[in-house]
Amino acid sequence: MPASHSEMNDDQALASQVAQGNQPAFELLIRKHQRLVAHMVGRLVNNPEDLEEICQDVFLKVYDKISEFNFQSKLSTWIATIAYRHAINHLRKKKIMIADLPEDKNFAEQFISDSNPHETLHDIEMEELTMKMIDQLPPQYKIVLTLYHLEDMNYAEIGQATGMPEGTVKNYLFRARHLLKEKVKTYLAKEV
Amino acid sequence: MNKDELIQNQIESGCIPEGTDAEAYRVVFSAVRKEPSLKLPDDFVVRVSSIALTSKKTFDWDKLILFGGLGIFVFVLGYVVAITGFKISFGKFSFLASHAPLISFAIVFILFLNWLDKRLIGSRKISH
Repeated sequence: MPASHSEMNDDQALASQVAQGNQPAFELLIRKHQRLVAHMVGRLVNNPEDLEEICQDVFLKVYDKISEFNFQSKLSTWIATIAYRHAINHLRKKKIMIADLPEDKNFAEQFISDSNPHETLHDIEMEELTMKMIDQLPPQYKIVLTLYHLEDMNYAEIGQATGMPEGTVKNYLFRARHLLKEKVKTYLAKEV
Repeated sequence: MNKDELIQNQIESGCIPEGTDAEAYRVVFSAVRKEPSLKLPDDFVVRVSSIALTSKKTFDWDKLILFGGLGIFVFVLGYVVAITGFKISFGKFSFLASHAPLISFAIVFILFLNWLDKRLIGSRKISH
């Protein structure tokens, strides 16, 4: 999806300055986008040291390739693409399966039933518990949830950033929230 | 549109549906909208920008050394060929001369495979 005119101008001006080796401009670019990159990478990579290293590599790649950025998308979407590739490549190196989603039915059943029977809502905050549930989801679900709900990206932008078709993005978003809902329901039932 | 899709759409549009499913969805939507506690170090920005600018300078030196070295090698090779009158048909090199088209094809083919390999692997890295 094309970026808005003023946003495009801002992005273009910033990218052009960064491409010329302007250090303050690059620092501004990092400040503007470090939250996005940290969210994306952090959702997929649990180790804080790996998180920092991958975020660093993402911005070094951005610096290296910014002269090739053609403004067909927002700068943030382009940076998100690089962040996604780096995080996915890291998972591949760690031999974490990401190519295929777990067999839907089996995974869904295991995900929903895999709760601590002794844990009740009185022991732990429901919201925190749900955030922990998000960590147990497949990487593709986590990244779609993050980009949609935290970064306010639409389906097309998420598709651009991840290489997934828009229909897949929409489907993953629905399924991720549905799985979480089913699991939350098991806790709500205990509360009653 | 099934029941779950309907509830998800209602919550997204700000409605407050009722029922157990809706209550569970409200918890889910609240959690997915909450920022995870991820924080990069305070000096992250300065550190990364310094590394980027330094590595850019180092890269230029690397390029200079690479192409400079290549230039010197070609010059020396040319000089040796010029002063010795070397021809590719000499001795064991005559094999190369008599199979020049085949060897040229092999080199082009290997380079093509290498290029194709990089293209395909690159495009599959994030495919699903």
